[in-house]
Amino acid sequence: MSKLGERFAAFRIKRYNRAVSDQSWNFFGGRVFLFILVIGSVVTSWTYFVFSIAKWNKGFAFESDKYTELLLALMLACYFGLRKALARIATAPTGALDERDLELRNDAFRMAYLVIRRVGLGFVLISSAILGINGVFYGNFVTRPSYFDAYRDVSLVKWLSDSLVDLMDSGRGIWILLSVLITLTYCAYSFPLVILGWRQAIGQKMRISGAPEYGTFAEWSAAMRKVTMNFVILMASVAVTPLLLVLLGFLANALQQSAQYDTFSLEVYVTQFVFGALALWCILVYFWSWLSMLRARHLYRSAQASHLKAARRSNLIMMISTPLVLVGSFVMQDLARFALTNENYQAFMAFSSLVYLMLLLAVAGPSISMVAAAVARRMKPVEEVEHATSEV
Amino acid sequence: MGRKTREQEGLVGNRLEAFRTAANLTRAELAEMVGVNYQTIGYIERFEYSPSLALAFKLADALGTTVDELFFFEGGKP
Repeated sequence: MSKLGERFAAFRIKRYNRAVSDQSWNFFGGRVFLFILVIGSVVTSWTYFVFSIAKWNKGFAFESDKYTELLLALMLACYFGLRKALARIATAPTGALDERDLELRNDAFRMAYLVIRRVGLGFVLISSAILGINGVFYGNFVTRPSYFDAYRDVSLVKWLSDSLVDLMDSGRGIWILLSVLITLTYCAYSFPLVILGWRQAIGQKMRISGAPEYGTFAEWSAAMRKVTMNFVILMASVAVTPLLLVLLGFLANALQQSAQYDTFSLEVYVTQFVFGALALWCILVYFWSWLSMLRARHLYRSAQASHLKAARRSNLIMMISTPLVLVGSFVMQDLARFALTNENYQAFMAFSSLVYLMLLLAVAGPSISMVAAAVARRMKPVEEVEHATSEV
Repeated sequence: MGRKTREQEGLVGNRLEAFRTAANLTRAELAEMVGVNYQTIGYIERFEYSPSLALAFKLADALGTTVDELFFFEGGKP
């Protein structure tokens, strides 16, 4: 192996060791989460593919393209979740695995390859044949009726060229090809993980990950610090992102103005882009903050944190109450709207106030939990404190 | 026809847990000595995984015994 290759291998092993040592993500390795990720991965990828076909054929789900972005996002979330859950085996460099881990991984990859090779190829051939015939039918007799000619010479060459034109022409054909490629690529990457995850979830061959283990409270505290710091950085990004986006917006406007475009529509567009991007980032960070609470909950299961009952309870309360309060705020919003249509202004005011209060609580929930975690990680167990005092 | 079950293949048993306990070693410590994951030791002790010949020798060496003392074979059909 060349020096560059050796360095790359060492870098991979170092990165792997760092990823595996972060036990705060191990909650993904639990039975329930693995079931959700495995089922989610399979269901979303199939739904994505079926919706793509349905859209192309103008079939039962003509409006299904509305969901493609959401499905793609869910597919990726399941894939990265599985990678994280099975990081110890699935994404490890070969040098970091022992013989049993290698056997498990190779077995999963071998089985996935066999399944994808047979089912995938058969599926692509059959669906291509059906879609090809349908495409020519739609292209020649439905979407272009004016070209219909009863005496037309439908030779094989003409049939093939029409199919190709139809695929390229409408954009729909290319879309289905792209969907097939996306689904196959996704399956190639995710299916071995799905097999490994399934085996772990049903308790076959692999052990479900248990409570995190730390030698000392200081080690546990350092792990919790990672979680809280990650949360603080994300929250800071929410505070800084608007400034950056506004600056970018001004810059984009300035550049476009000099290029003699319609500045008014551009300003509207850039402003919408700025606020759209900001809103999206805030939503992502908010959902990530739920992950932070889950990571903290997993760390609280450690024996080193057994004395932090209050912090553990507060985290659990926030984990349960935050989604409930969020859903409650939507219900209150509907009730407020209902009160307004019935001209009951007092009720409208009361429900509207509750909406804001609940939204505030839902947003503040993860922060409260993280503040509690930041305090808790400084609270040493009594034995350690006594030991330190007696040494002094 | 299909893959043979563990019973058909014959079971490789071992006295790993007894030797490890006698040597006053934890699973993690023994795993560290032979260069495998601690879970792998658990699987071998529960007879759920048959180690490779190389690992069998490493384990015997780490526990100060021989492979035929540590491992035994039950019920395999010729």
